[in-house]
Amino acid sequence: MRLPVLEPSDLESLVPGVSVIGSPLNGGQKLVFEANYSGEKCAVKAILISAEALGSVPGNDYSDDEAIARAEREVEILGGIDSPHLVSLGPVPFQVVEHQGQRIVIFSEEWLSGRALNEEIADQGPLPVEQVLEMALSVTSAICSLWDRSIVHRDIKPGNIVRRSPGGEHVLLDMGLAFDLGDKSITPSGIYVGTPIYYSPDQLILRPNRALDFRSDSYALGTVMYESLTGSHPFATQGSSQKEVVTKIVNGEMPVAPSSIVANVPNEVERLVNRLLQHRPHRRFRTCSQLEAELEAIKANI
Amino acid sequence: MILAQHGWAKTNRIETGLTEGTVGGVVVSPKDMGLGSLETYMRQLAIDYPQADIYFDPQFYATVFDNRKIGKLDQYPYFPSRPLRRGQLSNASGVRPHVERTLDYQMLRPVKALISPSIMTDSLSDRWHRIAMTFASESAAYHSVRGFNKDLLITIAIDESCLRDLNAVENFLDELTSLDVAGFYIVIRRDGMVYPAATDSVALTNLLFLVYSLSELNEYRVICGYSDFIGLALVAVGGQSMATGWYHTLRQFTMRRWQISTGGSPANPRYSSGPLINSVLVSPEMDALFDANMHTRVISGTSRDGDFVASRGSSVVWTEQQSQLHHWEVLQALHSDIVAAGVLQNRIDLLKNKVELALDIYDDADAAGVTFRAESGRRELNTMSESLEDFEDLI
Ligand SMILES: Nc1ncnc2c1ncn2[C@@H]1O[C@H](COP(=O)(O)OP(=O)(O)O)[C@@H](O)[C@H]1O
Ligand SMILES: [Mg+2]
Repeated sequence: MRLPVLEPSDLESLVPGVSVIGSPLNGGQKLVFEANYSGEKCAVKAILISAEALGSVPGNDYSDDEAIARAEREVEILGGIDSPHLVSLGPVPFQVVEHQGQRIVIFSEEWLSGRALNEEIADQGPLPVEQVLEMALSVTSAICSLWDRSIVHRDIKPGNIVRRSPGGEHVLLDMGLAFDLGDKSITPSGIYVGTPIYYSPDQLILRPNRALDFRSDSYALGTVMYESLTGSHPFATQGSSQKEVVTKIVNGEMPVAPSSIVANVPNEVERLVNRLLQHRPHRRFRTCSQLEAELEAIKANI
Repeated sequence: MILAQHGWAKTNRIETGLTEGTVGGVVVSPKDMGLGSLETYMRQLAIDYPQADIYFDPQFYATVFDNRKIGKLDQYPYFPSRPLRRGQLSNASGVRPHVERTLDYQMLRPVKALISPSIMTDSLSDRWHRIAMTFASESAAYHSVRGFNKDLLITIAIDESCLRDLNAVENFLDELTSLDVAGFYIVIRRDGMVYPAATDSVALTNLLFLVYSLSELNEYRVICGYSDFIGLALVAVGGQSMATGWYHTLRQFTMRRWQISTGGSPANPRYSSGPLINSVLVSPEMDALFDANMHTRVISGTSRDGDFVASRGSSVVWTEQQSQLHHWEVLQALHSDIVAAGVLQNRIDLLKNKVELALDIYDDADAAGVTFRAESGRRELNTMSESLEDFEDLI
């Protein structure tokens, strides 16, 4: 996937009413602009669909129409779910624009002024247990809201978990991969578009007759919790390649216990993370509410 | 809870068991009772024993048996009049009408939960298996669409050999646990034509794991049908109920019951011993234990044991009916001990400990020159003990 070539001033003239603040962010797939629109602070997101010079965007195996449908789907999902832990839509409507031979999808979200979890971990290293539990509960609540509609997020990772305001609650974003199980056509299976080191074995090992369910997202949450508790990814050691990490996930290896890396990880927390990181979905939690209840119980106990 | 696995009978054993509280409910068998009688019977049970859990096993799996002796099943409106072939079930639309008829039928009966139709499979990876999974998912879907106010239990009907491969069992569990239903009714077909057939230790380990995952981890209600003493291990790992009956064919699911006409098998009378966690022949095995003066160590100590002891060397007969009711009493007592032990690890430890004590008795019996037939001896205990150990390594 490639980012669009789009200056703040280009965006301002393509979408009248938008005024960009500062320079854009990106997570690898989208350009994200902090902007004002009709007096409202928001995040304007730009996704490159195709460029004349390149034809379809390399790394994007979809046709233009599929890619647009995918993006529209993300926006629809966001618009349709009212959850405090899922990012909500902003005032700039979904649209497709042409710019210097590129087709670009534009949409917007509420502006989240807090930090992303990956930045927090990079700065602070291991996070306090209470904070990790709080984050896990927020993400679980987002996962549950999605799963209520048979949606699996499929790209849960620290970079996609951002605080609504500094020190505020965590919000899950980047539904680029989420797809509605009722509408399987949108994402052909077997194509990795996200960050595979945060993928579940269920996502990496294709099994016939089996659709992904929320348990796949719960595995990714396990990875995120582990990383938040210890400061490091469960399967990535210094200098290990993405491929090595993916191999460990596929082979069902278990990471070293968080408590052997940092002190003061309560037993119950360690057990929970261990359960989420089980290779087999049936060894994790069957329902979102069971996971939620377990997290609540642990939090109340600490 | 112990459930009575109902079968052909002329007596009121189940009523007695329910009155005495040795069974908490019943799984009725349409194969063994005509439509009208069984409906009346269920209604009456529901009136007389409002607390009892009544289940109706549709025995749909018999539709694919060869040389089927389906008894009274052909009187039931959901049961196909001719054997079903694979091609008729290869897609959801072929399966759906069977699901609808089978669940609709039960919905009108005084049952605690509905039991889904399924077919018996020999493998967890062939096309028949896919058909069984279609029955499961179609049942769950129909149940949810109709908004039935009774829970749904999905039938898992498999040959014991399916359980030999752990990887296949784990795949199976990943599939089963995506079903949004209340629980499962498990029937394991055993090869043996004799009772008790030797249990395969690897298969038992994996069965323990299956029941554990469904019940302990995934919080489903699990009823283990056609259980015997081995059923106690299934309860220890989390199974909620085990169903067991009076004939040997109601304590183990074998094809025998579906291939030859069975009344009961007037086999040699057996005595169910709590301390041995096994049943032994009244003669000569119990006789020999009495002769060796070891009887006090094997007597179960339930309410019917007085009658049993009194029957020895006297003209009072220890009837088959007494022996069968006694079997439930003994299982019930062991079952309550296990449940009372509390959490998983404690339940397992308690059962392992009981098995050790039972093996000690066998050792002493050996030393005293008492001999047992293979099936009355240590065999099943050794299997249970080995499987419990292996199971603990799996979790
Ligand atoms: N609504 C938002 N408010 C503030 N920052 C955001 C918002 N959405 C995304 N970001 C920032 O931009 C980065 C990339 O956004 P994301 O939607 O994840 O795109 P990508 O598909 O490129 O990963 C995020 O990691 C986050 O730092
Ligand atoms: Mg992202």
